Amino acid sequence: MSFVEFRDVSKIYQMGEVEVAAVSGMSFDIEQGELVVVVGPSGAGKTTLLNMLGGMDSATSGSIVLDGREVSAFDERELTFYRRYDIGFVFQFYNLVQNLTAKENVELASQICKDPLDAEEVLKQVGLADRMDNFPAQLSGGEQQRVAIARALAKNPKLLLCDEPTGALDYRTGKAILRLLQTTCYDTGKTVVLITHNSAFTAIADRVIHVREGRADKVLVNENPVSAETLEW
Amino acid sequence: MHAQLKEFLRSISRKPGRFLALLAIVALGAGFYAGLRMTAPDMSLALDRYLDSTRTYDVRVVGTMGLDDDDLQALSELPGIEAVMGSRQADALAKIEGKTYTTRVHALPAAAATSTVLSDGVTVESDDPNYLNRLILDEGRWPTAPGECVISADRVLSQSIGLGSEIKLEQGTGKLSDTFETRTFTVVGTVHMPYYVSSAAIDPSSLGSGVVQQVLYVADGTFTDDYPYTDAFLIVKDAAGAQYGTDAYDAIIDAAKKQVEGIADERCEARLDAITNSLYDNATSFSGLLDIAEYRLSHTQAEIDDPEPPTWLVMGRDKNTGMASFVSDSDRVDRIASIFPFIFFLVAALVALTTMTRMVDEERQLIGTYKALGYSRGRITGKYVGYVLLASVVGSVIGIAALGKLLPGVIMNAYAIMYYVPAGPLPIDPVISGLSAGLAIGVTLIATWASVAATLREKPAALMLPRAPKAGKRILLERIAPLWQRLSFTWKVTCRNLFRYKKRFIMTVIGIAGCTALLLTGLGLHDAINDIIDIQYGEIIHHNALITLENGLDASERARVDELLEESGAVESSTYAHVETMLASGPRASDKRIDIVVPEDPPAFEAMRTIRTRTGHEPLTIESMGEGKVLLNEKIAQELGIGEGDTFTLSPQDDMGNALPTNYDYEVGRLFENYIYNYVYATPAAYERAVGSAPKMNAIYANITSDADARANLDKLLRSSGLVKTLTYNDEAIDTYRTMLRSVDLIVVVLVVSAAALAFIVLYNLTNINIEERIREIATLKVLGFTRRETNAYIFREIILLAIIGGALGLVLGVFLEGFVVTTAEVDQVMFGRTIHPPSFVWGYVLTLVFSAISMLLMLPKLAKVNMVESLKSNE
Ligand SMILES: Nc1ncnc2c1ncn2[C@@H]1O[C@H](COP(=O)(O)OP(=O)(O)OP(=O)(O)O)[C@@H](O)[C@H]1O
Ligand SMILES: [Mg+2]
Repeated sequence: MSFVEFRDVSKIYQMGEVEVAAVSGMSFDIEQGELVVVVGPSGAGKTTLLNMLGGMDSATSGSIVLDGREVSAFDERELTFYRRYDIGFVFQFYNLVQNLTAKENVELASQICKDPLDAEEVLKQVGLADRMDNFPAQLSGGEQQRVAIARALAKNPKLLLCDEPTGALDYRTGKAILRLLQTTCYDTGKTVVLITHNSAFTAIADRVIHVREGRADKVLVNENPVSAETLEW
Repeated sequence: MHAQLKEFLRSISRKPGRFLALLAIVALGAGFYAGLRMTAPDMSLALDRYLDSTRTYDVRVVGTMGLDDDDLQALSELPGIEAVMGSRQADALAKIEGKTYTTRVHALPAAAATSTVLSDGVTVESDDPNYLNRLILDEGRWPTAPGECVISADRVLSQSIGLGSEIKLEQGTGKLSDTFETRTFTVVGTVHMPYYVSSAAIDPSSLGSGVVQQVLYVADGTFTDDYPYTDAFLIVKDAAGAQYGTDAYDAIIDAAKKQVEGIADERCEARLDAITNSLYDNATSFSGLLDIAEYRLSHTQAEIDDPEPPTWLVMGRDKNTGMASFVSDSDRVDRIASIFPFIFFLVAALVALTTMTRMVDEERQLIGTYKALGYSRGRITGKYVGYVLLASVVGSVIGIAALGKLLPGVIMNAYAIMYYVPAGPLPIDPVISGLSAGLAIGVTLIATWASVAATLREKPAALMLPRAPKAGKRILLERIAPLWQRLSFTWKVTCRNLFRYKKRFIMTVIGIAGCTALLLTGLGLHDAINDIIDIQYGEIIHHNALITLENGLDASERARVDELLEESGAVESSTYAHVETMLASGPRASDKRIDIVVPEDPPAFEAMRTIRTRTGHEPLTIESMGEGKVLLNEKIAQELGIGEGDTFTLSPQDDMGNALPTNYDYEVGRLFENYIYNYVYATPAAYERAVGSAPKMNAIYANITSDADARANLDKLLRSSGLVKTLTYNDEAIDTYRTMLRSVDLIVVVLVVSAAALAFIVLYNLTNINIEERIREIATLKVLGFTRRETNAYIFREIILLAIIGGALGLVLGVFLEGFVVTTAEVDQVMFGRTIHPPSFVWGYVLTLVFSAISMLLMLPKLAKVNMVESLKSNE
């Protein structure tokens, strides 16, 4: 049994009379400790997939299993605790709380977890040892994204989900973030799922899921992922 | 449909709560102001309508020696006079249902019996145009024979007197038989008397308790033939066409009064001749005149032998105690009305400002898009102006239409306890409505413009980008490391949030403070009103009766009074004093009614009346004041504009209440706490020093058993002795005051309910905006796995703190507002309580918190509904 199992998952939005299937009959597996890259054209259903996997949204049909537990059957309260203990989320737009310092943003997440990592330690890990007491507005986009990653990591989740984490960043910064995610995955053994538009990123992944029209079109296992450092695009 | 219009409508329908809150606050603000402001004009209108439709006099002429038919004839021939009615009246002490009342007896015009009341309930028609001050029969029938009477249907004190009650006149100012043919009456009907609109503000009388307690209209033929007309009531031509109280009315009346005064001297001479002639014919007839209590000068035998020439007193309605008191009450309502609602406008402006700032912030990108598409600034601003205009115009119309009728109705209904003035139509005054709506709309528009202008100045490109997030900042508290480190993480966040959004913080706190202040004002006013009686009769006055003695009793007569008091066994304690009603004058005011009390034995008097300062309750004694110094009550000192160490003047008054030219100067020793009526307390020495003669003890303060039989026995003993003028118990006064004050209390209810409604809308709106502004933060918390309860606590902790701070500030603000409203609302000769009771503070505060809590409860579903996926999708 795989760490993550998507089985025939559909997500249908009711738009008045019209039904929009954001995801329809999607199936794939992910193994523990893998760095997974999800690629596909805009509107293919990548974000929807990630949201369902992260417990932010529930599937219309099908089954989602994480580490042997059926997430798709969770009620709202169970989903809350699922997000709390098992999931770390990183968004394209960071979503930091503006009125908290970098360290406090991390603490905001770690204080509610069972077995959190030390906030300062994690911030050091992401290279922000000197900026812990800065507020988000005082940090660059890349630094803010690193805080967001630190916040997700500090929860010590089973699964780290990133929706276009480099989308709002320039080339160099984006690359640094990718490297951070890759090393995190390798060093801590956490499973990382990463959405991107950029098919160049597939090179660093252990597994690549191609999404098209709401389906997992192709799932490729990459035997020899390259280091993010060497990546060019 | 035009795309911009569509978008405009959608911005209303998408968030109806925001639009409705704005609308509601404007409705409340505009409606409250308009309603309160319209009350006074509505009251004036109702009074004018009632007086006109009952053909109530415009001018009253009182002859100090009465009037005769020739006088009436002369008056009716004046060009400005439309109708004249001669009228007889006299005061007497009357026994009704076992109690003695100071009673005014009027002769009922014969035309009353054939008059009819129209279906509007106030218009009285009669064939006799000279039948004035027309009565409205409420119950029973008109008197047809001597020995029958109708009494007032409205007097507070009539409550136990009904049809069939027997009324016996027992004592007058002179011999009763000289005035009345009949002295026992059966009540056959009750009537509304337009001449006496007030059942509490009562005419003075030289008899009994000093004020008229009951009014009777008795059948023609009750008064003796020799008893002349005491009054002539006049209707002035064209006066009914002008509203009473307006300048136009006053001008018409002044002109008519001049005509009347023009013939006064001539008529008075003629009257004197007639009297002197008849004196030789019939020596008794003249003494009858002396019964005319109200304007009896201090006659002596010498004056009868050598009578002073009579004079005419020509008076308008403003000299009518009831009408004047009604007018001053309506003025008081207006004074409260012109200040109190400004808090509402202030709060409405705040709400508009926060709401529109939020809306503009939310639609930043839309504004940027419009700008980029080439829409002019005016068109873009137009949307928000239109939004607010729609909300405030609709709100004003609804508020004014609803409260413009409701509030005057409620307040007049409250005053109906004191006044019988049937409410007329309650027109929506266009000027007040315009002013009120204009203020409300103007205030919200300015707030809107202020919030839109800043955003519009930005370049479209900048608008397309999200507003640079407001930087987090260290707050002062963080520098106090020991304290800061002790705070839990969430508390740190809360504290920082509070101080980060200064504008929101200030507006929320002011909004909440305003509501708490309003609540506290209402509750404090309630305390102030109840304190009047509770403190005056609970803590200050410890005697329950006042006995007034006949003038000039000698030592043996006084000993006889003492004997009687002893004999009755009903008197528990008593002490003599000289009590005299005077008129006090000072730098700020003159001729204020006041009683000077000169106790024979000051310590004994002080056992019956606690004399103390209001603040600190420092006990004061009359004798410790020092030579020539007296004690004066606080309220009159304020009115006269004097303080400790200043001097003021007392003048004796004639029976009309006019000051006599004698002046006595007194120096104020200390000011004491007193709520009802005005008093000077002086030692006999101080009195003698000022007046030049020793005080004559003419009153007894007493504690009398509450046993009814013992009281009746005492009453009989004293009355039959012929040494005692009156015996009055406080209980009656307390009842009257309670009734009077209950009406004011009803207005308090109106204030509290409005304040509560306001508080609620404001808190709801502020909470709503607070949450809308933080949707993204809330969504982030949810993604992180905060449970519902944790999310609620995180968001609400801040709002609760704001409510706690705002409420506390509101209590401070409320103390000032209450003080202001209390002094404005105060009734003549009554000082309202000046302290707000602790429970009112607690209630004001708790209600604020409860309203906050309810607002938050209403927000719970909204918080639960915040959609993580939606909220975090875009870079807002
Ligand atoms: N709340 C919603 N209501 C209706 N339709 C939705 C909703 N959310 C997503 N969709 C639709 O579902 C489809 C998949 O959306 P999704 O956001 O998953 O795409 P994506 O692959 O993440 O695209 P992109 O690369 O542009 O982010 C799209 O066609 C979108 O219009
Ligand atoms: Mg997407």
